[in-house]
Amino acid sequence: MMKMRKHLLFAYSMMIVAFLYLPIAVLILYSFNDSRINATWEGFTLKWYQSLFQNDRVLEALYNSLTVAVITTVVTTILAALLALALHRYKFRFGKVFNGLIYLPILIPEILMGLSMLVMFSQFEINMGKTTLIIAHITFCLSFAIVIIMARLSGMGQDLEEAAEDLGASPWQTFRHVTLPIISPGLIAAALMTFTMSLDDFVISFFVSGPNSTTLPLYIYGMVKRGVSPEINALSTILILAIIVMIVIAESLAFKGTKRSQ
Amino acid sequence: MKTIIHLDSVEKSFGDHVVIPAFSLSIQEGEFITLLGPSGCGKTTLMRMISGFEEPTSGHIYLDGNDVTSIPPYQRDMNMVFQHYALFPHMTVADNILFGLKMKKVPQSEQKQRLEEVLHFTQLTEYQKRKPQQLSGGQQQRVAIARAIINNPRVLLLDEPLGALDYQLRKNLQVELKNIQRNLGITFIYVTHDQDEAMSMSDRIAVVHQGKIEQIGTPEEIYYKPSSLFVATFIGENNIMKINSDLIGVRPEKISLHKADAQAPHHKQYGVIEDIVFLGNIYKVSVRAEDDIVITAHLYEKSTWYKGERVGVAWAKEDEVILR
Ligand SMILES: Nc1ncnc2c1ncn2[C@@H]1O[C@H](COP(=O)(O)OP(=O)(O)OP(=O)(O)O)[C@@H](O)[C@H]1O
Ligand SMILES: [Mg+2]
Repeated sequence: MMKMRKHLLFAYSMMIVAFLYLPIAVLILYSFNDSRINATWEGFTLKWYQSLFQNDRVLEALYNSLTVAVITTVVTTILAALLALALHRYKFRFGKVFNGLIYLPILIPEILMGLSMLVMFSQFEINMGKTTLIIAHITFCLSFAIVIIMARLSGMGQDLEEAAEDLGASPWQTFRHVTLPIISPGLIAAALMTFTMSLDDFVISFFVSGPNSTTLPLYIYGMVKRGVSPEINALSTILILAIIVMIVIAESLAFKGTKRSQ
Repeated sequence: MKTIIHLDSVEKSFGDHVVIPAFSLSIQEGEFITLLGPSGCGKTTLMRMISGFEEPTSGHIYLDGNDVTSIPPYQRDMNMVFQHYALFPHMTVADNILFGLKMKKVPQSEQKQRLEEVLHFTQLTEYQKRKPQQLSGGQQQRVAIARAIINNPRVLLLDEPLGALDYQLRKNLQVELKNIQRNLGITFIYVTHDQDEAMSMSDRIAVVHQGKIEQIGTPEEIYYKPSSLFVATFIGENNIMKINSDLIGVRPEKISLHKADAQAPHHKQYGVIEDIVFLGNIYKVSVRAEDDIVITAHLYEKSTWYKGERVGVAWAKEDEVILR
């Protein structure tokens, strides 16, 4: 009876894993399929990857995506770090309400965020393009980045900074030699997370991008409308792998060295 | 003797909660003074005001005659040893210890020389390349002390520095700390809730209760001449009795027991032995006396005393302390 239950549980777990990863596995598999149609397996090939990298429009989308992601990452990480440090150091009166306001955007549906930004940009008569894309990406990444950095700061506590000040370090020296090195894994984690989210965002980008700022996810969507080709599989595979690598690094850094031995 | 730190009517409230009502205290150069008091009486708050992490609501703090009340911690010539060490986890032991000198841009050669001295002094030489996480609690504590004393501070503040260590290690480090204080001549302001620690290390003890000094004096004065009921009961064990209209205290080791029928004139009370407990070095005998009070006596010999025996309880007049 016990054994039976254990087997069932195992089968159930495997089903969940299959449910989660089967579509991605199929997508990756068919990116190496030597056939235009996604239905049958006709042998291994890398030609879809080759044609992908000879396609100017793909390369332009990749370039757009990377530019937006890099700028978003740098700006978001700096803004988030400054805000998190301010919240950590000064406990102001409406701290709780303020924290709530920071968490809220994480819960707001993306489609509403995209729509509201579209409305806002057109209100101010700003033309859609890379700038609006970057502003929108910073907006939705900021909350996540702040939460990651705040977690790191509250894990550090106040003792270390006080100890530094006590030993004669000015506020700047304290930041430079104690706070920054200790929260840097958090900063890197926040940066990688931001980069990933910017790179794979579709919904919000869909609303705020212009004719010359097609990003990779938008390009993939456009290709799909003309029928699913193995090139899309290849492109998606590259995107997925890049994102997985970054998430793994971000996760391991976010928790690295947080457990202080006592 | 010269006053190094003077607290002049220092007050501290958090919101409308008064933690320290007007508090005045003068600390002499080179002395080992201990703040002793129950949890929550405001010891840490006092230390944080002296070191500059907390600004008093009113009053002034003087270091060497200069008003330092609103000078930030990094500009005060004193160092603090934190209860949980607060070692920098991303630096080696040597870098932790050198931190203060580096911040003050002391020349490299002097840094090196002072590091060696301090490492030797605190017996940490062989651990200098390790990270704090790779040290035991006692070693971490020694790093925290080394990190403070390398700066040659005028005053060292220690907030329950041994609180997290086990009994044997505490005993050893108590001796080490006392030696450091004596050899370097640094003024120590020490916080503890451990009476034995306070008694064995301090030149003077200030007993703090609800943010006020109940009594300040040498360990002997505090122990043998408590000036209030609080001090008499907080420090060591005491028998508090009401005789005529006076409240008096007599230490258990000053109490002697006598056969009830031995009509000695100095028997102050009669009672029945309720309990005899062996404590290792002494026997603790509880006698239930008249008026239902329990008198405790500490005896070195068990003799023939037995539970339920009726005895006379006596003490010398000069061992009575009259409490207001
Ligand atoms: N930042 C603060 N805000 C509000 N109240 C505080 C603050 N710091 C301390 N208190 C209060 O001040 C009182 C004294 O605290 P303090 O930490 O000085 O006590 P302590 O004597 O060091 O106690 P312990 O022996 O437990 O360390 C306590 O009632 C505490 O709740
Ligand atoms: Mg305390």
